[in-house]
Amino acid sequence: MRAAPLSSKAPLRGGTWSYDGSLEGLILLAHKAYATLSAPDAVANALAEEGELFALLGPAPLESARASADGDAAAAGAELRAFSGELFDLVARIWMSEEALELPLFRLCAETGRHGPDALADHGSADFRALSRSSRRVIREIDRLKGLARFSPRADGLFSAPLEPDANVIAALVPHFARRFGNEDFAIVDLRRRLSVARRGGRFETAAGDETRAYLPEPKIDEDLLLWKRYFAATENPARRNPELQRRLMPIRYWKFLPEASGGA
Amino acid sequence: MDLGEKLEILAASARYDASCASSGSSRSSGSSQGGLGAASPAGVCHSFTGDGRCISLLKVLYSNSCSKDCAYCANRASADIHRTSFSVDELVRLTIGFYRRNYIEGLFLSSGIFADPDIVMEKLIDVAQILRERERFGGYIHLKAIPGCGEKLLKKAGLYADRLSANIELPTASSLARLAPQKSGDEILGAMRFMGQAEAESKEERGRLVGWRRSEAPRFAPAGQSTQLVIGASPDDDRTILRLAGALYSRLGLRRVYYSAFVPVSTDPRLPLIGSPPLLREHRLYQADWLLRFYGFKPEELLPEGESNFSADIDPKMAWALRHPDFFPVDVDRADYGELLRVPGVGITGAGRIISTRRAGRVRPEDLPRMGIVMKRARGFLSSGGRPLSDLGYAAIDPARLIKDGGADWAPASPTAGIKPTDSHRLAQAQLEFSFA
Repeated sequence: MRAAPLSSKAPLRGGTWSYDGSLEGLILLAHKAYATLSAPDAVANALAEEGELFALLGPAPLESARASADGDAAAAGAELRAFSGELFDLVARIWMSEEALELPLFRLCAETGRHGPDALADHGSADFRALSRSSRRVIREIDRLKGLARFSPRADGLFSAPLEPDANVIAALVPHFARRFGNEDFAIVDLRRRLSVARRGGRFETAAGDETRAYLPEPKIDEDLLLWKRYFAATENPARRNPELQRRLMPIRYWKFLPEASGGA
Repeated sequence: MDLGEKLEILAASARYDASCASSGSSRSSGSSQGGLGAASPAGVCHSFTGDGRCISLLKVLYSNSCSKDCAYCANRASADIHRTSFSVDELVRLTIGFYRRNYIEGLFLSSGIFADPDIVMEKLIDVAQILRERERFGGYIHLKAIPGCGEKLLKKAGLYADRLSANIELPTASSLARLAPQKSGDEILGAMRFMGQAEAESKEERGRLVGWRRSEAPRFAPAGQSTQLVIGASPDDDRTILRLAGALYSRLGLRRVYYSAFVPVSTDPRLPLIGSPPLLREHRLYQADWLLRFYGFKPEELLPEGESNFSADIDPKMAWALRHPDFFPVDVDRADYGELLRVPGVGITGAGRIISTRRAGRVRPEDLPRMGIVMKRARGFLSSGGRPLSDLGYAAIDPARLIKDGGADWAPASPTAGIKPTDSHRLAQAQLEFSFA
């Protein structure tokens, strides 16, 4: 059976919706669009308060998010997720993308509330395509950094990776590295946004601004790093050289932190 | 010799093995038991070498001393190279050290046959066992199955490894006899068959359990097995190779067949004289392999009777489409997923998007390029609402242009790739000689 076509636009309630740039704020407005089947025609985005993103941490993000004056972001997030995990993920990724895509996002939320999750795969919709492109960019950045983050040891036993992500993805990387590191201590530092997350003794610590410096690795060349450089050079097959392909798969902007590309410590 | 020198030698000796995947497994035993590491099903690339290949695993040989003298192999007994071996502890230290820094997903360990196959296999198992039991390492481990070793050892290897592989290397018994006379095709296939059974039995046993009993039951090589074929060292044609790959997928349940363009490593008169590895041929075989695994094609469809090799100019999917004009046009409003997948320029993503967009509304032809459809390839093969796209203002396909574009999907490091013309004469006579009864 075919679902109703999506060509009819949700009625615009118009006006300006405003939020503080935080993920919680975006989720509350996305939920509002979804629940009321309406979208604004302008969005005012105040500067995000630093540190808000860490509500995303952990396997069940947002459960710890506090209720704000605008309503309960955790409950709104849970309701969106129960309706469609894909919709919830899209909201989170659009927030991570740092692109001004709130309007198309709210329109798509209204459309999804109206027509069901099929609207989340409608490549005939320009709104969906723009959101999907941005979401894919975020996913690609997360996937790349899962591989290209380089952790170095500090004197206190913490393994720390400095990064300059293209999108605000650090919160999405934490669960991955928490699994990888088992019980060991680690830290990720976003130099561009001056944010950091560390786990020490099983507890998460977050920092912003100058405080993040306390989590940076010490610039030091040690044996493992040298062994890795030698391995990298030896494992390449000289009969198959194709530097163009290498740069396409691993753009130069990532090389800064890669010891094998003479970046890093 | 210091550890760095050993690492350089034993990495260079292992670089001809194309397999480096860390996918297909899911494991958290390491981190949940207080150790290090977890394997994620999608796999992770940690770097890319200057040849554009993904580094996912620390890929080394345990030892590059080898009693076998396979003509195509850089480590053959008669080759004049430095010989060395790791110790078990050195490999454990390297794996853990690299893993912690996020250089790798885990270890790929193979070896030259420096002793009796059982002894070689035991060494590889030692490394994996210590990583899993002493270090509680939960990352990815790929072990080479040493043909000729006992079945008990293969069984044990499968309990520690995520993936096992035995390399067939040459696709026919006659090529093996000529270039690797000390290798036995039956022995290699025997090991593969045994591992396939062990994997199936382990899956079946686990299926009978529930809850924690299932999650804690031992799993035999959860990422299955793979193999590798060397391309261009023997006169075997693409049809022979592809039919073998098809049989390995359908009858032995292999997860991956890797194709490794022969790199001239010696002047052995039994080998073809080529200047550089046949990378384009390797590329065409990978394209065809994808069509087998994800697009529902059969080997016989891609290279029917009388066609021995893929064209250098046209990719295998386009070649199939040009041979089957009756199948087209495929209509974006009505075709099912399998039909869409057969259209050149429509991939898995594009076909999925056409289907999902149809659920929400209508697929407008002008949206197709934005849905990931490569129009310069697809336009001659699609219709919309029963009308060919060429009627809707999209130019029809121009065969001359097509050949140019078909070649343009390929940018080899050196344009002289390929097999010598004198070989192609013999190619036609090659037969699929292995039996899978």
